[in-house]
This record gives sequence, structure tokens and C-alpha cells, in this order.
Amino acid sequence: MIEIIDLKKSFNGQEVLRGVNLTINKGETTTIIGRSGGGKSVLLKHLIGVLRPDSGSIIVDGEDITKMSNKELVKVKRKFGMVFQFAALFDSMTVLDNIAFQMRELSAMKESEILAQAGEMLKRIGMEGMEDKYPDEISGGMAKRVGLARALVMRPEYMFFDEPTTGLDPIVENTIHQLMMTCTADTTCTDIVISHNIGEVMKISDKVAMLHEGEIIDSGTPDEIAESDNSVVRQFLTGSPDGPIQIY
Amino acid sequence: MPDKFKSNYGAGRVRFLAYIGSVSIGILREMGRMMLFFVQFLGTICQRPLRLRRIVMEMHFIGVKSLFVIILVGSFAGMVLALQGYYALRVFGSEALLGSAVSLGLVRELGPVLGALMVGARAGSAMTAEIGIMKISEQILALDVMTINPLKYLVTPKIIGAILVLPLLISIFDVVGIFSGYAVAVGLLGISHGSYMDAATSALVFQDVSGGLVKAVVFGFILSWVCCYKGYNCEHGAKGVSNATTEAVVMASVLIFVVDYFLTSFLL
Amino acid sequence: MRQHTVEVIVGAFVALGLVAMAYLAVSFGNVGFLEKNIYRVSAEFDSTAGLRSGARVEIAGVGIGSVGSIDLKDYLASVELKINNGVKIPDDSIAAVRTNGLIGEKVISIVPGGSEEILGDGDSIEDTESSVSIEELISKYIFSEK
Repeated sequence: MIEIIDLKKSFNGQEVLRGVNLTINKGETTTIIGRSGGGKSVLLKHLIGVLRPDSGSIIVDGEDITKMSNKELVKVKRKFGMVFQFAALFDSMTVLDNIAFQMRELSAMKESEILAQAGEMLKRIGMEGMEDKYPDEISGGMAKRVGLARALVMRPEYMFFDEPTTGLDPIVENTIHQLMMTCTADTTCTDIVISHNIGEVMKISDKVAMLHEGEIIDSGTPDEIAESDNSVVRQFLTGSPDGPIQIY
Repeated sequence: MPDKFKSNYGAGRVRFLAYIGSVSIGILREMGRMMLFFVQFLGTICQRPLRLRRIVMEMHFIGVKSLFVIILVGSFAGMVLALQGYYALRVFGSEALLGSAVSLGLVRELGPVLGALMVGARAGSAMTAEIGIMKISEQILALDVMTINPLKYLVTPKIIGAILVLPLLISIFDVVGIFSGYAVAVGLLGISHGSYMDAATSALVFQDVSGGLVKAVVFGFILSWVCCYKGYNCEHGAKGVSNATTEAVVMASVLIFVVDYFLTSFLL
Repeated sequence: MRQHTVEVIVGAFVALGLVAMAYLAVSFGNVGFLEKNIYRVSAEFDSTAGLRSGARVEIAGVGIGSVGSIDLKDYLASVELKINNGVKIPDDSIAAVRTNGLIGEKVISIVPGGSEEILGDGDSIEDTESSVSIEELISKYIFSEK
């Protein structure tokens, strides 16, 4: 379980997070929605321990990661896996090397075991025979799948997804959702997803939280959020240009 | 003066002073960040795993792949030095000293400086671009999330590789240069084999050779440090990478000349 | 396999670089692994103007060693000469600072004497001739014309 308590962060005097409170339950899929530039990525970077807050705390399985030394933080971060918006595959390595990378660097596994596991993972994402391709030789959807495989191979307890399906066609989008579901179902993994895609949010989430101007303004099950009486949430869900959020 | 300062800082002289102040603060801040980067690099040297294989790969990239250009530049530097030296020395009837002029010039100055500039232009710019692209495409963030220290994984092998490789490259540069000078002196200018080699060998003392190698080590550190720093702190997309690469090569080259002056004054 | 090849290439490169470095140090830097095969004698000069450590020591124009340290001793220049073993120098020899060419580099030229006594390690050459200043020569020449 991850508890975020009154998290605040400013950059150059501009408050990006103004006291975020959120509980992420174990085994559930929690989705954070909100406008671009609303602090979602900054919040995510705090959760994965890359940024330190100005105040507030993030409690992961009973330990406050914002007060930890870098050394202690490493132990907690080993529980995390992340899929990046643009996959962030290592472009100097082949698909296979990308998937095998963490096992080679962080575990004491034998090379033969590593290759077997990576091959298994490739089969699961439906990319057998592509192991020697480089990231710039495969499509965006494939890169996302490889990114997913690269994160899952270390069997993380918490998976973070930064816009997992942005820019993909609907079929690829659904295969990614299926992969997320099956992968997390058999590892009892907690998913934290950032997304703009309302259809996706409603389909995959157990809990939805809306981040607006540095605060969580509403959270609940997808059904509760759909019935929200917060006008900002309603406008965001319908995508209407008329409402409390004015672009111009 | 950029527009943004016109509105912010009042008028006339005050505005100008404010501009100078903000530029100075910017420079100081950059220097502080570079020193911090250096300290972090020092901290990673002894951290396990040592990643010796990554260092070997970097030595291949920085050293082996620069070998051709180093040999090419070294031979032409030696040749032009022989030619220029010949016409200067002939005025005094001291052509016999040509070997000394070539070997001293190469071993003390031209070898380390030109060699480091060539490696900086070839491998240094590539370091900045590689690290910069990894930064903007979140690959460095990915390493961090995987609990692999990006500095240790990416930067440390490059700096250590450069420090190990530069003295080797510059020794090769010197030897190639001296023998290219020999080819011009003996082949074209009609100086005897003996007088060239004798002058070349007798002019140098061990301090010249060791001083040249000290310079090589220092320059190797400077160029890899600056280039890695610029790549690691790169922002704002493709334009950011190209700016960082340009800045890195210019800054490394200027620093090499500045440090060369001070090293020469200490070593002589 | 690919990485193995890289390692071999890097190994070859390092070997090449080290050979170049050693060649520079031994052959040009005059360092020696051969230092054992020399003995040292000293000589005092009124002036060594322009003589450098590492300069040649010769007899009849043939190199027989090199100049070691140059120090000041009782307002005289005390020069250490590293002479190759096997070259015998009589104790009444004369050491002179000479110039190769008009403005060439300075060397120590030794004119052997006829004594039976041979210099050993740590001995000194008593008779010396200091370097000739070109300025002096030129002014002598100019003023003698008048």
C-alpha cells in the first residue's frame, strides 16, 4: 500500500503540488487523471523516488521514502517497475538485451537462465523472432510492449505506467490492456497508471483520482467518478470546452 | 542585451549592472554544478560493481576509433613542423637542430594539445550527444528507476576510459610525428639521418616526456568531464542536445588551452 | 564473441600505446634502464650558460654520455657527467663547454690527457673551459676591426 500525505513541491517559486493526499491500495489498479501540466508526471516522479518533496510524505508498505537515504531508497525501488510514455528503451541495445538488462545488472542469475526468462517474456508479448531488432527498428506499440516486458521481468510489486497507450491505435491499445491485466493478475501487482484516455481509465481502473492544480479534487471507483458532482471532473470526463476550466 | 532584461531591471546603468550581475551568477552556478558533478563522479569510482567491461568498451570507442585520426594529424603536424623549422633554422645555419625543434615541439606541446582537441572533437562530442539523447528520451530516468546509478553506469566508464587512453594516443601521436618530420627532413630537405635523429633524441629529457604524459592525462579528464557534464544536464529536446554538444566541444577546447598554459608553467 | 573481439582490439591498442610510450621515454627521454652502465664524474665551470641537463658529452665529437644535474657550488657551476662504462678518461683531461653550430646547443667536449690514472665513479675533472659567449666573440671581432 502507498499512502501519499500532504505532498508539496515547488519549482522556482511555482507550486506544482499543493498538498496531495491519496491512498493506493495493494493489488488494485489506481489511475491518476488530470490535465496536461497539472503535476501528474511530477507526482509520479515523487512516487518512484526520483524527486524529493518540499514537505509531506510518501509511505510505501509502512516506510516513508521521502526521509530515506539513497541507499535505503534502493531497496524500496527494487519493488518498482515503470513503463514510460515513450518506452525509453535503451537504444544502443537490442530488444533482447533491453529485457535481459536488469537481470544481468542486478541479479546473480546465469546467462542461460537469463536468456530463457527473456525468451519467455518475448513470447508473452508476442514478439518472438524480434530479439535482435533495435528499438528504432520496431513500431511504437512494439516498443511499449518491450518496455512492459522489461519492467515485468523483475516481478515488481508496484508497476507505474506513464500514459501506457498514448498514440497507439485501438487494437494495440487493447492488447496492451490485456497484457497489463494478465501480467498483473498473476503477480498480484499494484498498478499506478497516468492517463488522459477516459475510455481506458473507466475500463481498467479499480480507483480513479483526479489531480487538478496540484491537489486531488476527487477520487473513487470509476462509477463514482462518472457520477461526480465536481464540475471540474465532469468537464474533464466529457471533454467539453465550456465549464470551470477555460483554455483561452 | 537580451530583451528579457529590458523590462525587469529598471533603466540605464542599473539595468546594465543587473545584466552583468545575472551573467556572473549564472557562470558561478554553472561552475558549482560542474564541481558537484565531479564530486559525484569521484564517489562512484570505488562503488561496486566496477564494470570493467564498460571501461574496455569506452577505451575501444575513445581510443581505438580515434587511432586513425590521431595518426593522420600526428604525421601532418610532424611534417609541417619540420618544414617550418627548417626555413626558420636555415637563416642561422642551424639546420642540424631541426630534429630538436620537431621532437621538443611535439612532445611538450603539439602532441598533447592537438591530440586532446582531436579526441574531444571526435569522441567528446559523441559522449555529449549520446548521454544527452539518453537524458531527453528518459533512458537515464529508466536507469534510475531500475536502481542502476546512471552516473556510475554511463559517465564513470567514459571518464576513466578517457584518462587511460589519452596518454597512449598521445605517445603514438608523438612517435608518428617525429618520424613524419624525419621523412620530410631526410627525404625532402636533405638533412642527414644522423643529425636529425641525434638532435631529436638529445634535445629531450625525461621531464619533457613525462610532462607531456601528465598533460595527456589532465586533458583526457577535462574533455570527458566537460562533455559528460553537458550531456547529463541537457534539456529541451533535439535542439538542446545540439546546443549541449556545441557548448561541450567549445568549452573543453578552451579549457584545454587555458590549463595547458598553467601546466606548462608548472612543469617547466 | 563480439565483445571478445573488442577486448582483443583494445588489448592490441594498449600494447601499441605502451610501446610508443616506452620508446619515447627510453630513446628520446634518455631515461634509462641502461643507467646502471654509466659512472658519474663531476666538473666545475665558471659558466655553463645555455647548458641543459641531458646534453651530450663527447670526445672527438663522439657521444660518450650525457649531462646529469647542474648545481651551483661556491659560485661555480658543478656539472654531473654520466659517462658510459667502458670509456676511460685520464684524470688530466680537459672538459669544455662547446656549442654545436653558431647558435646551436651546448655540449660538453672532453679532451683526453696523457695520464696513466683513469677517472672512476665520483671523481672530478679539474681542468675545465667555460662556455664561450657569442656576444663576447662578436664584440671582440667588431671592436678589433676598428
